[in-house]
Amino acid sequence: MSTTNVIVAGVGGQGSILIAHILGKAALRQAAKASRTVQVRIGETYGAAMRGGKVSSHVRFGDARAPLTMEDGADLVIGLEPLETLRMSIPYLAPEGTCIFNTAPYMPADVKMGRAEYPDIDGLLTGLRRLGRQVISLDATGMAQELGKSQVMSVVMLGAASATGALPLDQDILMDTIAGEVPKGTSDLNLRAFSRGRSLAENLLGTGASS
Amino acid sequence: MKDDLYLAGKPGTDEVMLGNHALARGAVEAGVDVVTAYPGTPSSEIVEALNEVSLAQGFHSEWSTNEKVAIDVASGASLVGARALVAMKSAGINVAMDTFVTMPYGGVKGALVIVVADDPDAHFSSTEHDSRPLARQAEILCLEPADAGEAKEMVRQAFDLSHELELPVLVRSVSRVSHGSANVTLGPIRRDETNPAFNKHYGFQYRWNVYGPPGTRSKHEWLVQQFPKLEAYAERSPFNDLKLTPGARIGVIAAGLGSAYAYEAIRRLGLDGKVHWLKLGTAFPLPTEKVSQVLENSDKVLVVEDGTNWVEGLVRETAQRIGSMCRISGKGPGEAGEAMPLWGEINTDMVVRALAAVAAVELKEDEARRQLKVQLEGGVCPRSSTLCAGCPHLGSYWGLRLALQRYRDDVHILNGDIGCYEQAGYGIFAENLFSGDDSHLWKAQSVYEMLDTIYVMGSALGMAQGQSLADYKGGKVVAIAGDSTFYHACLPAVANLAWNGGQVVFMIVDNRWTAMTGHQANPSTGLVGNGSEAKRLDISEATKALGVEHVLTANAYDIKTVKSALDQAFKLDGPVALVISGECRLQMIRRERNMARPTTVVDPDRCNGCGLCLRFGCPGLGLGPDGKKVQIDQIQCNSCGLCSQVCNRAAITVQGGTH
Repeated sequence: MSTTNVIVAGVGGQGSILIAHILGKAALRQAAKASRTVQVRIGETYGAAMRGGKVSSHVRFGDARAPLTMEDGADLVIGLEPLETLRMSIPYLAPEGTCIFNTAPYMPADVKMGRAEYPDIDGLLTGLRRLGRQVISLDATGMAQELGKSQVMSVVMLGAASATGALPLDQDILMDTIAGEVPKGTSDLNLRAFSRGRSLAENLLGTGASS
Repeated sequence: MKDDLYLAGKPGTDEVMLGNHALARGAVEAGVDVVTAYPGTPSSEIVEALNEVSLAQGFHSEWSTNEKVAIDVASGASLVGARALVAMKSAGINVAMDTFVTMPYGGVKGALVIVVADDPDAHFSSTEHDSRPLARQAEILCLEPADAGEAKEMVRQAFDLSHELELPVLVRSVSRVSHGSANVTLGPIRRDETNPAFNKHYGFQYRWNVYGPPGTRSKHEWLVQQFPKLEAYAERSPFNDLKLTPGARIGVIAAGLGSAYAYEAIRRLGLDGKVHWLKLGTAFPLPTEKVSQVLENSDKVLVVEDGTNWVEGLVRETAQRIGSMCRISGKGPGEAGEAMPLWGEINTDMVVRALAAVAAVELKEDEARRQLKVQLEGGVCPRSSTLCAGCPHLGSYWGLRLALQRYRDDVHILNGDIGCYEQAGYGIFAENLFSGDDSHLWKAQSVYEMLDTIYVMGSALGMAQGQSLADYKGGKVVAIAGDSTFYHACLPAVANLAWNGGQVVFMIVDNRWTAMTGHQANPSTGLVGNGSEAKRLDISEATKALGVEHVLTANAYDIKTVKSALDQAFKLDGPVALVISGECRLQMIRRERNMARPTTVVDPDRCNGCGLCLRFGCPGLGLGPDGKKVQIDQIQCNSCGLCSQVCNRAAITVQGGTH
C-alpha cells in the first residue's frame, strides 16, 4: 500500500490544523467504507499560544508510521499563505507534486516593522513551478470574504485541492467530514466554500489557466 | 480536533487522535481517580483534556502550582489506593526529581503513572533533556510510545503494571508523538470505584516512611529486588516486537518514535525482510533476551531513537555482557553517527542516510535540485514570533526601557524567566548581531532585545540576587517573572531575597493566566483547572508576607505608572518587588466578546515615520504601503491603547468604545 503525503502550510489562526484533521478523518472513513485499514499520521508544528506564528501540518495516510513527510515527498501542498507555502515547499514538495496556492499574504512582524522584505509573489510562483509539477494559484481569502467569512478560506483551499487528483478521497466523504468537524452552525457556509474552491480549481484545470 | 476524548465513542472503533489526547484517553480507560500537572508545551493538552471531562467522569483533575507539588499530590493519592496520573514536560521532571527518585523506595498501593513529554530539537524548551535515563536512576519501568495509538494503550496498561509491580511507571512521550495524531482504537472505560484505605504497614513495615524501621537502605534493597520483575515484563511486553530474518546479518533496533522513522526508512531502502527488526516500547529495562538475539545474528546493528543515545548505550551493555563482537551504530561514534547527531531530532531522511551507511547502500543525490532549493531559500524571509497585539508585557517592558534611560551609561542586567515575556530576550529584531569583547555596550533597540539571561522556571530572581551579592555595581539588577512562574518556583527565591538581602528589583508581570502554554488557570486567575471558581491569591500580599519590605504596584496598560514605580524602585535601598498587573488581552477579549471595541488610528499628518512605535514591538503596528509612515493592522489590533502612549508626536489616538 502506498502512502499519500499532504502538507498544509499557513499561519496560526488560518485553519491549517482543522484542514489536516479533516483530511485525516476523511482518510479513515474512506478506508472504513471499503473495509480496508489505513494508517493515518498527522505531524504538527505549533508552539506557544502567541498568535501569528508559523503553523504547518503533515498529513499522511496509507502505510504511514512517521509523523513527518520525507524530503521531496509531498504529493500535495495546500498553501494557505504564500511565504509559508514557499517555506514548506522547498524541502517537501515532490517533483511530481501539486501545490494549491492562496495568493493573499499574511505579513510577518519582521516585514511590518521594516526588518525584512516579503518575497515577490510572481517570483515565488515561478520558484514553486520549478519545484513541483502543478501549481494552482487562487485568491481564496477574497473568495472567503465574498462568502461572508474570512475563516472559511482554508475550506475553499481544501475544495480546490480536492479537484486536482492529488487527493485520493471521495468528494462526498470530504464533505461529510467537513460538516462534522467545523463549528456548529457553520457547516452550510463551509460546504459552500468547499464547492466554490472545487469548481474554481476545476475551471482553472479545464481552461488550462494553470501550469 | 476535539478534546472530548471520544468518551461517547464505541469501543473497538478507530479515531484519529492527538497524541496528548490519546495519553489522556488511556488514563480515563484505566479508571484514573486523581490527575495532576503543571502545564508545559508539549504536554499541556493531556491534562487540559482531563480537566475538561473530570467533573462528568467523577475524578479529581487539577493544575498544580508546580511539578514537585503535582507529583506529591499524585503520590499521596496512590498511597491510599487511588489510581493517579501526573503529567509534565521534560523540564518538569527535574523540578519533581526529589520525589521521583524517592517514591520507589516504598512504591505505591493504587497506581502512579508519570507521563513526561520530552522535546528533542527544543522546539518549546530550554534544553533537549532526555527523561529515559531517569528511569534507571529511579529504578522503575519506562515505556516509550511510537505514536498516539500506542500512547493510549501504554498509559492504560501502565496503570495495571504500576498496581501489579507496586511501583511508579514512567511513560516518555516526545513532541512529535504528543503533538502528532494517529489511529487510536477506543477501548472500554473502567468504572470500578476506589475506596480509599490506609495501612501504614502495607506489605512491609513502615511502608510509606523511607526512614521507618528497618531503614532507608532496606527499602532500597526491596526496590532492587523488584528489578527482575521489571526485566521479566520487558521480555513479555506487547510493546516490544522482534522479527528475525533468516540469513540477514544487519539488525535494526528502534525505540519509540524512532521505530516509526525506522519502519519507513527500511522500506524506502528496499530492506524490508532483509534485516532483523526489534521495535522497542520499553526504554528501561530493555528486553535483554531479544536484544541478545539480534546481536547474535548480526554483524552490524543500527540503533534508532529520538533524544540522546540512551538505548544505544544499553544495547552496548548487553553486547559486552554476552561477549558480542557486533558493530553497533547509532547517535554516538560509528558509521551512522554523522547522519544522526547527538543534538536535534531525527526524521526518516536521517534514518535512511544512517541505515544506508550501515548497510552500504548508495544514495542518489540530485545536485540540480539541491541548487534550486538553495536559490529559492534565499527568497524566504523570517516570520519571527512576537508578543501578541495588545499584550500587557509590551507596556511593562516599555516602562522599564524608559526608566533605564536615565542610567544610559550603565550596564544593567535584566534577568528573564519562563513565560510569554521571555520573548523580550529572543533578539529577533536585533538590527545587527553583536560580536566582540565590548558586548556589554550593547543597547536594546526594541523590546525584543531586553533580557540578558534566561534559563528555567523561577531562576531569574536567584540569578539577580547572586549578581547583587557578588557586589555587581555596574548597573541596575532586575529580575522579571510572570504570575504562574511566581507561584511555581519564585516563592522560595523571594523568601531568600528578603532573608539574605540584595539590591534587586523584582518585576512580577501578572497577566492572571498561564498564557504561553494555552491560558491555563493558576493561583492568580480566580479559577481552578476544571473551570470552577476559586480563591484568587494576591501576589503583592504574598511578597509582603514573605518579608519584602518595598512592594510597589503598577498598571501594565498605563506606561506612566510602570515608569514612575521603577523610578522609585531604582532609588530604594534593599530588595524591591514591583507587581505590574494587566490581564492577558486575548483572554479579556474572549470573555468580553460583545464589548464595544475602540479603534486605534494613526494621523498621517502627525506621523513622521520615526519608527519609535515599531521598536515598541506590537504586531498590530506596521509600516504602511509607502514604507515611511506607520499604520494600524485593524485585523490584529486589540485596541489596548498602549501605542498611543508610546508615540511622542501624539500621532496615534484611540477613538470610541470602552477600553
